[in-house]
This record gives sequence, C-alpha cells and structure tokens, in this order.
Amino acid sequence: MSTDEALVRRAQQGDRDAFLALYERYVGRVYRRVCSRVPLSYAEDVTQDIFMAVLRSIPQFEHNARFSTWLYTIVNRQIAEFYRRRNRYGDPAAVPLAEMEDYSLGAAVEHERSDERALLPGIFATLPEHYQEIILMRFADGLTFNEIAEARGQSLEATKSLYRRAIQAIRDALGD
Amino acid sequence: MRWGTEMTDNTHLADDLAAYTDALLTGEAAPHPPIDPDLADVVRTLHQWIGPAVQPALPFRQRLRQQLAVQWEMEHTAALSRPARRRWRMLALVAAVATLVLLVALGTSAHTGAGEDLRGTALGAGVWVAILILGAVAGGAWLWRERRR
Repeated sequence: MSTDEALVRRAQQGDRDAFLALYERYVGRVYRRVCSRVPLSYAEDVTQDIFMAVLRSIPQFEHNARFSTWLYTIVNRQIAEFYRRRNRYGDPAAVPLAEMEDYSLGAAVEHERSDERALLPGIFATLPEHYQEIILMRFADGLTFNEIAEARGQSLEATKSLYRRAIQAIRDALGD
Repeated sequence: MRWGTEMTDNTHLADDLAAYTDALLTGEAAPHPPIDPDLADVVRTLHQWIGPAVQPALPFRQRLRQQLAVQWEMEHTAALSRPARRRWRMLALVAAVATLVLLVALGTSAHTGAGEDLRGTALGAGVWVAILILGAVAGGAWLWRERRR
C-alpha cells in the first residue's frame, strides 16, 4: 500500500487516481472529525467543502509536515468557515452546540438516549485542544496509542496519561 | 513516597483505560479488571459518537468521489495545458519573425539584382501582398487555436 506522501507526490504530478486513493483513505476520518464539531445535518456539506479545498490546494503541499496534519488544518479551517458563514448569513443568535445535541447524537447508533450523551458534544467543544485532539486521534482517526505517541513525539506512557486526563475531564464536566 | 504511589496508580489507571478503549474499538471482550464504570461510560459514549462505525453514507461517498474526479479533470487538465499553450505562442512568434525576415530578404534581393539600378528601398507590391497574406494566415491560425480551448 502506498504511503500518504507517495500518493500526494503522484497527485501533484497530475495522477487523479492517487488523489482519489487519498480521498478513500481519509473520507471516514474527516467525516467523523466534522461530526464532532458540526451538526450532523451539515456534516456532508462540510466534508464536501473540505475535499474540494484539498483538491485545489494539493499542488501547494510542500511535504514539510505529515499529510494528515496538513489535511486536518484544512478541516479546521473549513469548520471555522462554516460557522463564519452561518453567523454572516444565518441567524447570529444560533447556538450550534444546541443543534449538535439534537442532530449528532440522534444518529449515535440505536442506543437509548441519555442526558449524558446529549451533553457530550457541548462538553467536548469546551475541552482544551490537546484533549480534543487525542480523543479524535484515537476514536475518529482510529490510531493506536503507539501511533498517537509517535505522531505527538511523546512517550507511550505520557500519551496514555493525557488520554486518561481527557476522559476524566469529560467525566468531571458531566458530573457538574 | 505518597507521590510515587500516586504516580503508579495513575499509570495503572491510564494503562487500564487505554486497554479498555482498545478492546472496545477492536471489538474484543472488555479486559479485566474492569475500570471505573463512569470512565467506561464516557469511552462507550465517545465510541458511539465518533468511533469507526460512524461512516458517511455510501451514496454520499460515491457522489463526492465522482464530483472530485470531475473537478480534478477541470482544475488539473487546465493547469497542465498552460505550459503547452505558452509553447505554442512562442512557436507562433518565432515562425512569424522567421517569415518576416525571409520576406524582407527576398524583397531586398529582388531589388538588387545584377545589372539593375537601385530605384529606392521600397519593396514590390507582390512582396507586400505575400506578407499580408502570410500574416493573416498566421493570425487566423492562432485565433482559431485559441478559440478551440
């Protein structure tokens, strides 16, 4: 299987199939990251915008960072853009997190709904960024703790410890 | 040594929580000893919310793939054809200059034939017509090619 970097190089030389292979590899992860920050009813639109932006920007990718890091920068930028557009054209008083409670968790498989689940998106959004990131890396990206440790340049022990603190922070917020 | 004991406890807690999460995400049975039920609940909720089972709908995935393929052709084929267009312009310019030089040389030699007096430097009417026709043909060819893009 080709590495991300090899696929990006081929895409930069005009290889469409290489770009589509990157799309297939990342569409699930990007979608889950979007779901963690955007109401579910908008998740597909935002995912589409993200990949269109990647398609336009890929010739400028300079290989001085991991492709995934660069991609998630675009994900964050497009999510910010989504909220900017909503505030500009939609009603400025809208509280997206409230919507997220309605939509995102509505799709959280067919499990019985609890108050805890309904509160999670709002709590997640208020966590420090490094807590959010480690949770996204483990759940949305499906990276193992070893891979996360490597990506973050940390020891495995420090990574697991950070993860525990992130989970504990959610638990504490739910308990408040 | 209380600090040291706390450190060890926290490390064990972090290991157990990580093991529990791994087991949940890979679909294995939950490991023993069980972790704090409150923390386990948070992990399960996260798993349902943004875990690997959460996928974009297949029709959306396929539609977006198709849109990207089309958009790729539009963006990148145009980008790739830019250098070819520049090359063509350069060739047309070189050909035009070469034609002009050739015609001027022909016109000049026609007026400096052996035994003939110089009657001025103006080119003959036939040469001018030839230049105009060639110029029109070259310009027309260039415009036609540009329009096809």
